[in-house]
Amino acid sequence: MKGRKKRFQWGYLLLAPALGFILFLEGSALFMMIAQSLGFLNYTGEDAFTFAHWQQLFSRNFFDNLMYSLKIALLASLICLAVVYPLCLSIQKMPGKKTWLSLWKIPLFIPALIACSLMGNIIAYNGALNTVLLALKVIDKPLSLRNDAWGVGALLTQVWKNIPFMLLILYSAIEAVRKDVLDAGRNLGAGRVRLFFEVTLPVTMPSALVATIMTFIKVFNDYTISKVMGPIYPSTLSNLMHKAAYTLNDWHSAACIGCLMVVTSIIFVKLYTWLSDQITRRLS
Amino acid sequence: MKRFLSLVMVLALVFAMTAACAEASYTSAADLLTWSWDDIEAAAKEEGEVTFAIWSDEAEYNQICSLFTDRYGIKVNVLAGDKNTIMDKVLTELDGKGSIDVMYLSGETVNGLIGADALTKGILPIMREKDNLVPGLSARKEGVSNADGIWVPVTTSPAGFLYNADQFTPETLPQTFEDLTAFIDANPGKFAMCIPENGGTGQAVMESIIASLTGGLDQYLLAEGNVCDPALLEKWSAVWDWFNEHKQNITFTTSNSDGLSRLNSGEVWLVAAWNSNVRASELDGNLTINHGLYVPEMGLCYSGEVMSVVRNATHPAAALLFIDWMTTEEGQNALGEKNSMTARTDMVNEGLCLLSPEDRARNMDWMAACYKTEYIKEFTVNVLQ
Repeated sequence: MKGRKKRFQWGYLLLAPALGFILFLEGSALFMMIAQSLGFLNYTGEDAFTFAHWQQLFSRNFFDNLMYSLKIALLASLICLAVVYPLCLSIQKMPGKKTWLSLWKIPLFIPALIACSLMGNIIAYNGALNTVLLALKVIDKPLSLRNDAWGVGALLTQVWKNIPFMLLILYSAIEAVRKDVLDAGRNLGAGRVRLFFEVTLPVTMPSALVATIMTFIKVFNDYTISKVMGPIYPSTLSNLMHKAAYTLNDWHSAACIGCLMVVTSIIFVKLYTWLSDQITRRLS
Repeated sequence: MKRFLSLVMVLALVFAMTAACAEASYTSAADLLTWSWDDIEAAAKEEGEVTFAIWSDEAEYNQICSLFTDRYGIKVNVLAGDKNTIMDKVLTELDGKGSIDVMYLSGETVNGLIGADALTKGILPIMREKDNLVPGLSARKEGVSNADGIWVPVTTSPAGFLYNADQFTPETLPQTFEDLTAFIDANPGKFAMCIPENGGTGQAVMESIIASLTGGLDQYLLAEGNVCDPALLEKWSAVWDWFNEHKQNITFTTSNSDGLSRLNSGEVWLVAAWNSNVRASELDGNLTINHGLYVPEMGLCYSGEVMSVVRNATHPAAALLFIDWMTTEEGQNALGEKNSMTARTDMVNEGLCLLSPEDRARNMDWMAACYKTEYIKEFTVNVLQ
């Protein structure tokens, strides 16, 4: 018996907006970036296929910027995670928790540049921090804390800016933990700490993973906060990319850096997923 | 005879119409460069509008441009955006007609736009006030040559050392390179400069230090084919040695305005700054301490705004007329009212320049572009790493 020709399922068209976004917007940008990294699509000079831009890329400057990007992304996402769990658990028990949640989300609506100004005012030469330290006689003259070599100013700004983002994801996950399971744990004699590590953490681990990965990628690819608050040297790869394209007119090297940013993000997403699987298995 | 006369008249009419049509047909600003200003004005009025890309205060430029509209009846669409975004827009629109007609060129974008052949050549020579425009900025902008007449200067902004007047007397202000070194050693962290990749004032300081340590600026003004002379670059080891010896005592800033805010907070006492930024900060209330601006004897560069017509402008005649108007007394006074110093050598904007004429005479030209690119790259490798 001949198989009947399968009818076209019109429902597939519902995928069109998402596929269009991925294929045309992201796909074309990726294609242009890869082509530029190989010497094509040169807006400001000759086009020619070459690996020379890749060969020139791996300098100390690049690796310093890469390590800084990884360091600040890893630290910011881990600090946010460490802050957000206790914060969610505290808010859960607070009276008027909806108001507290709304207040904690305020930094989400503040642009990165404004966040930098805010943090800059706190750590400025005659800012709040120096004023307090001087008043307490901890220091005898104000400290120069802006653009510190360790990137503490940038890290603080990133943490402040990303805590609400993580809170948004994790709070719903923690709220969804079934109360009867927690009650059962309590009946069996588990304390708060044990309940957290043996019930809440394993159940919310997938959400924590998503929040951590997204924060990591956001911070890793950040331009503004590192530019304004970060150390003079090194900076994030986005800043290195900007400098290559706009200050040195080297769009091909900028495209190479962009390709590596995408690859590094993918590697770290994979790494986090593997790590999370391991932790979830152990905890459960 | 009648027939012959009729034939001659018809031929003359056809010839006149062809000539008129030929003159009226143009596709770009380059086609208009041989036209008289009356014809350009007529064509501009026919076009009716012009789009002008800027990266500063849109409201101020709307006021300035309204004077042009009042005079010629040509609407100016002011497009405000980031300077790099404007460049990206021009580059991506190079095929076909571009939506931007006239733009300011910055030190960061001028090389990219010239490299992409995005700008109309030969516009400076046709400007009616070209002989009264500041010669240095007409010839070069931040090290890039204007031999092709691509841009027209419309404002100037000299760089100087901005100082906390409570910490200096006129006699103690560092004037020479040796004075500056001694000040840095005696007052750790009190001298600030922007890193060269992030701002023009950092580049101005770099050029001054390179000139002081390697035998003057003149040798760097020209570079054949925009290629650096290796023999000159070898001399720069003295510059990197000097920076490495003193960098612990220098405060490096992330932008031109960062230096101003650090001076105002009392963190630093001496910083390189643009006259225009200092003036704007005074008016905005962002510079509240007792301060002064001067150009040291070792010299500092000057810059300014220059305008150019995009090669594939949709309104090329209006674009040329608009730039020409910007260099007139009316245009320059309008810019002056918004705190931009004139680019005309025969005009003075009272109260805008914070520097004395003696100080202005110490403002230097920029090195050729290849040297600028080189010290930006090498500063990271030799000083920051």
